[in-house]
Amino acid sequence: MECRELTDEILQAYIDGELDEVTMREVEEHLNICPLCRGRYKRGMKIADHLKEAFHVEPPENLSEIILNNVKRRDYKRRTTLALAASIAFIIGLMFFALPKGGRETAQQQKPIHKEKVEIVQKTQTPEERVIPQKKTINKKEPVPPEKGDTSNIYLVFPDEGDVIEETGEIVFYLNRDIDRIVFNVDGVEYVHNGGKAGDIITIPFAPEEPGPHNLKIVKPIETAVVFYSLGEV
Amino acid sequence: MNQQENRRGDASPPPFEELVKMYSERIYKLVYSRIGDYHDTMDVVQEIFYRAYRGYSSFRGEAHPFTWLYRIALNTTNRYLSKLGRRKEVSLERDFVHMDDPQERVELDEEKMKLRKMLTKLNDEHRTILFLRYYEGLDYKEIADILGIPMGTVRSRLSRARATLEKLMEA
Repeated sequence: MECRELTDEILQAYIDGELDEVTMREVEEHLNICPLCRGRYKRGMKIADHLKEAFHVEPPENLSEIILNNVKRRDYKRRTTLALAASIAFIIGLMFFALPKGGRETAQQQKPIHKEKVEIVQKTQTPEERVIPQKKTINKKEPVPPEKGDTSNIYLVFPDEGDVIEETGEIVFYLNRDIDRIVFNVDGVEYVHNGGKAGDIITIPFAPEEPGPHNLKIVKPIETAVVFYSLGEV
Repeated sequence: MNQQENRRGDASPPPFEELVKMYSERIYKLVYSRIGDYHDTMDVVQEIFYRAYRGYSSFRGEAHPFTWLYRIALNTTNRYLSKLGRRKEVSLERDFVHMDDPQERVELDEEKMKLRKMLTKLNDEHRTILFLRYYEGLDYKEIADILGIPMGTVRSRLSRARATLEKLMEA
């Protein structure tokens, strides 16, 4: 083998151990006698070695858990939506057939009303209309540990334990004194708000996409937790 | 998910939970190498596994579960990147060199740092194939299966990616 025959592609395949036996031996023989190509080979090997480290990144802790929780929630939401849609269809069908004949004719004459209902249902299901207010109003950050000994007061006005928060709902805090930072988390995702002055009522638009129970925990300046419920996106 | 667990015997693909545990970190790293942002990567990774979950019941083990999952990961990330391209809000050269990122606690020496930076200058196709070969350690056949391209194309694409990277390193 000569230098011009040892192309970048062949040298690359040699470094990667992807050559057939015969070609591999030819490359080896050439590398033994050619310092120029040996230099190319060494540079190639060095980059190959360094690439593994260059690509390395630490995934977040509990990654599997986060993914599985997300999958379960989305699956629950999908099933609930499907069940609700089936129920609505069933009720509409039942109403239609339960009406006496005269009533059916009346119902048929009222088609625009049915159409309007369908439009309302579709509107609430349009993904583009999802409210994502937390991105506008609060900053998503990594978990911040609470400061010990902080005795400042903050009251969670809404939601209370067991309350239902709608998709366009809010989380409301009342501040009993000046507070420069409120840290809370919903279902383990930490949020930070800049706080306010004593007497302020802080309203944070918050729209859980997933129906079902959610855990709201204030981490700073006090520690308290409630479970509220969301109807999610219907 | 329980249904899937119960339906499958020992010889079948693993339960979905196992699949997540086995491959979530590798998928995260792949997506991160292409997107370079912790929060966006998390969004995309969760979308990948949700799609995988929806499709897992019809997965018959024609390919290795990892290959199957990797294809979903690549397609989902492609869609995400093409949306970014259309919106033109984010540069294609999004930097994944932020060492203040809490997700990156790796200390790299100067040359490796330069290599890492130069990787961001490569196009997505080249960066992906280098990741599959040198981070994942996949052979050409496995890469060809995942990317759905012939082995000859794997070889030539890798060679071009390497040549571009070497030029960038020398510059």
